[in-house]
Amino acid sequence: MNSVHSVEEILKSVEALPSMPRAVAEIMRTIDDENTTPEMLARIIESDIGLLAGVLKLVNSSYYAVSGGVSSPHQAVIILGFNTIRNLACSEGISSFFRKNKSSDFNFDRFIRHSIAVACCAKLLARELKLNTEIAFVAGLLHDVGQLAVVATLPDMYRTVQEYKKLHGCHISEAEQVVMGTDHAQIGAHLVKRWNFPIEISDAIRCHHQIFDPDKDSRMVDLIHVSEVLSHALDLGVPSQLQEDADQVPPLSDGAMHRLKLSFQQLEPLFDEIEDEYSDVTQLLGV
Amino acid sequence: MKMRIKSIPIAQVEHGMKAARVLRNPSGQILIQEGVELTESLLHSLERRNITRVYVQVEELRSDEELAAERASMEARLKVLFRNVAHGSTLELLYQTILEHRLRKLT
Repeated sequence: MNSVHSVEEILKSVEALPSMPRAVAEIMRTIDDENTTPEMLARIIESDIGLLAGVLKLVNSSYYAVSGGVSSPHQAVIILGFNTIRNLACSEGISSFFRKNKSSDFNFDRFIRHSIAVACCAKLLARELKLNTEIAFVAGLLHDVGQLAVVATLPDMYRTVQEYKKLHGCHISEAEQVVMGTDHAQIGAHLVKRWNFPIEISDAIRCHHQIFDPDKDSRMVDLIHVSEVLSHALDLGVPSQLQEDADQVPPLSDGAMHRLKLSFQQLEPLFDEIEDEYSDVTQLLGV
Repeated sequence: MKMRIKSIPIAQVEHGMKAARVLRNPSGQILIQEGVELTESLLHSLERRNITRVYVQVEELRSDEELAAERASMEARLKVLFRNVAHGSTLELLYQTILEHRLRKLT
């Protein structure tokens, strides 16, 4: 089957997607900046009214149960801490972006649950490996954003990809390569780069299905790949009513496990924590 | 009364509940020993350390038949998910690790 569009045309089309709130990328940039103050983080959140409302709703939810309530992001940073608020703001911004691009052609519930599942695996594996947990969480949340972009901007092409995948029983990336000449990993990385997210995130998104030789040598790339596999293995993101017999654990790169010096037995004590984190985040984001 | 261990958010801890497992911080230091009562001041100090959940004992409400059915469906689903995994591969090890982990939780 020949590609009906060139890769450049496809990348141009997905750029028509409503953009990720600029505030989310700005918040991500504060991660590596030790000079960021609570006022600076609060000001970024306040610059986006939708994000501000979402963050205040989350910090006032029963999950945090802050006595007396929280009325400003500055107060929220002081009470709950920098990392918690940064994580909440990114999760809220990204999930509202996902919802804006919801399409009836697509099993959106499965998509968002799987994204959160990979994000939670990535966060706890990053903690174990002493990598940046916030970068890992956001990279996990966004790892499949390319799929959402294709559904929202090129729905006919998405249908052709799904038909090819079903007919040949192949992995989605293989179907995408045949139909589009590129895949959701490349498309997602392209978008995230355009939104000025940290380069580590776009590299991890681009390589999350490259099991033999990722084109980038980075622990974050390997971490997102392993998190993708682990999320499927733990069956996270797939509530029983959405389970299908076609579900299966994707291939794993032994190289990635080796480079991260990881064994699954060593990760076993984390399984409960990953499942708890997943249930907390889905509940908090109302998924 | 049959009990089981469950992790719950700190906000849901009820008066008199005790820690059912040792609680450690991310660097591995012990914050609470097993069996310690989860008083309000202890919970506040956990929140200040960004700990959001604790393990407590709750009543096991499932019957033996329900537990057996849950175990059978868990094993069947794992077999579906790992159906194409090669013998001796790293993924087979992952399968065994998850199976043992889930069986431990069901007994």
